[in-house]
Amino acid sequence: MRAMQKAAFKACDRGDVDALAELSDDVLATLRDGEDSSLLHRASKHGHERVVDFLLSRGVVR
Amino acid sequence: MRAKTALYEAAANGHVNVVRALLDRGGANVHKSKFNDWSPLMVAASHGHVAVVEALAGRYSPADLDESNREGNTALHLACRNAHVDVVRLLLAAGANPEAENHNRRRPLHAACHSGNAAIVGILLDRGCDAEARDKSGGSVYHEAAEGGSVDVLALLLTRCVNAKSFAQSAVDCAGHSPLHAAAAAHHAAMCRALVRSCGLDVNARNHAGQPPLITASLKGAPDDVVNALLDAGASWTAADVALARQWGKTRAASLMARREPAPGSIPRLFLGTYKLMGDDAVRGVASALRAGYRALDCAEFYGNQQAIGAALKGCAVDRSALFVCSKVWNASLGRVEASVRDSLAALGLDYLDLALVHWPVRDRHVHAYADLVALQRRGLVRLVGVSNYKVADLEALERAGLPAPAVNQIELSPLLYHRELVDYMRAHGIVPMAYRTLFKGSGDKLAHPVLAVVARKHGRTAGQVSNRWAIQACGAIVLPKSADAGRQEENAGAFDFALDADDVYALSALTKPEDLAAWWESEGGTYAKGVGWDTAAAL
Repeated sequence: MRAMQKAAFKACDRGDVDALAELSDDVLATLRDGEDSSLLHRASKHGHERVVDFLLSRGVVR
Repeated sequence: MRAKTALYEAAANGHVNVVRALLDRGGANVHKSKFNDWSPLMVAASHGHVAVVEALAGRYSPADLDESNREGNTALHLACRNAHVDVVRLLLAAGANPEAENHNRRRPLHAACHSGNAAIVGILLDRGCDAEARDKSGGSVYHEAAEGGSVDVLALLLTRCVNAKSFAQSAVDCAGHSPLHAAAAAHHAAMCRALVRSCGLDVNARNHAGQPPLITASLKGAPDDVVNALLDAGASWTAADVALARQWGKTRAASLMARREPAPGSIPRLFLGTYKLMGDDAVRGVASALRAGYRALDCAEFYGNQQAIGAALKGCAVDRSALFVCSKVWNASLGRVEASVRDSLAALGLDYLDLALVHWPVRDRHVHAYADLVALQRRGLVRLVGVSNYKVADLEALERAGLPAPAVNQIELSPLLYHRELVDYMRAHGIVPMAYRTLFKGSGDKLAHPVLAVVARKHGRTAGQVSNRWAIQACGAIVLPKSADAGRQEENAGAFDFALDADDVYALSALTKPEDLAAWWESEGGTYAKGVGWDTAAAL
C-alpha cells in the first residue's frame, strides 16, 4: 500500500498519466500525502494539465 | 491550518492550463477555495502570474475581486506591492476597487509608491486615486515613495498632482516624521537629495522625538552617502548631536558630522590640500576625498593641476553649493588678477571661487593685487578674499591701504613652526589661520618628534592627527592635509574625532625654536624671502 501510494504521488509530480490508470476512482479521490495534499493538488502544483484532466475525468474534485 | 487546494497551488505556481481545467470542470465555486486567508486570485496577483489572473478574474464578481486577506490587502494591493504592472491593469479592467483600504488604511497607491514602480503609480493616478490619502499612522504616499527610494516615483507624483509640493512639505506622520525622515531611515541618499532639491522639504525639520533627519540617519546606522547627502543639503548639527551619535555607538556618522565643522565666516575647517597632486592622482584623490566627506579644496594657479581637479569636480554628484573651492593668484599674475582668476575658474569648471588668496606678499604689488581681489568680490567672481604667507608687516600694509581685513591668511603652521605672534595678531584682527604643512610633507623625522609621539599614544591617535588637532585647537586654524589615498584622507579627517587637553596644547605649543621661526621668515635663503621674490612667469 505504501509503495503504491508513493508511486502515485511521484506520477503526479512528473506528469505520468499512465502510472495512475490502474488505480480505482476511490483510491484516486482519497489518497493523501504527509501534508494532507491530494493527487489533484500535487499535479496542479507541478502544472501537469494532462494528469489534472485525467483526475477530473475520474471524478476527483479536491 | 487548512490544506492548500489544487487551484491555489496551480495559481501560486503560474500553471494557467491547470487553472483553466480546474475552473472548467472542478465545480462552480472552486475559485473560492482559499489557503488560510489567501484566495487563488491573491496568490496569482502577488506572484505576478498574469495569465492566471486573467483566467481567474472573469470568475470573480466585483465584490470577490476586492476580497482581502488577514491584513486587509486585496489582490490589487498585492500586485502593487510587488510591482506587477500587467496584473494591476487586468485587475482594474476587471473592476477591482483602486481605492480599497487595508486594515492600516493603506491603499494600492501607497503600496505602489513603496514598491517604486512608476508605471503602476501612473496608472492609479490616471484612475483618479487620491494622492493625499493618509494611512492609519498618518503616512502619505510621499512617505511610501521616500521609504521605497524611487526618485522616479517622486518625480511623477510631483508632476502629476496638484499642489504636490506644499502637500509633501506639510506631510508628517503621527510620530512627526517627514518623508525625509523616512528616506534617511531607509538609507536612500538620492531620495534625500531629491526631497530637498525638487520637493523643497525642510532638511532640519524635527520629529516628535526632537530628531531631524540627520540624527535619524545617524542613529539608524545610515551609510556615508546618506549622511553626506543630508549634510550637503544643509543639515545642521550641534556638538550634542555628535555626542549622542557617539554614545549610541554610531562613531562613523559622528565622524562625518565632526569633519564638517565650520570655521568663522562659514569656511570649512577641513580642506583637501592639492599641492603636488597631479593628473590622475588629482582626479582620483579629489573623488575619494569627496566620498569621505571633504567638501573644501585648497588649490592654486601655481600648482598647475586645476584642469585635473576640474575634471574630478565635473564627475562628482556634489552640488556646487555644498562645495568650497579656494584658489590663489600666483606672483607673476599680480598685475592681471582678474584674468588670472578667470583662468582658474575656466580650468576648474566653476563660475565663482568661494575664496581667493594672494599667494605671496610680493613687495610693491601684493597690496594692489589684494585690492583687485576685493573688487572681484564685489562683482561676485569670488565670495571671500584672503592672503597667503603674510607676516604681520604685510597684513599691516593692507590695513594701512584702507582695505578690508582678509578672511584668512594661509601659512605654514605646526607645533614645530608656531608663529605665535602672527597668530595672535590674526586672532585680534579676525583673520583665520589656514595651516599648511601640518604633516611636514609626510617627513618621518618631524612626525616622529617624541612629544608628538607621547600625545598621540595618550589619545590612541597618529602624530599627524595630533599635529592637525593642535592647529585647530591652539590656533583656531583651518587645516588642509594633502593625500590622494583614501586611507590617509580618512586618517587626516580623524583630527576632528578627538580633543587635546590643556596640558597637551601647552606642551605642543612650546616645541618651536626661535631659530626655526627666524630661518623661515628672516634669513636670506629662507622660504619667505624665496617666496616673495619668486615672481617670474617661468615659475608657472
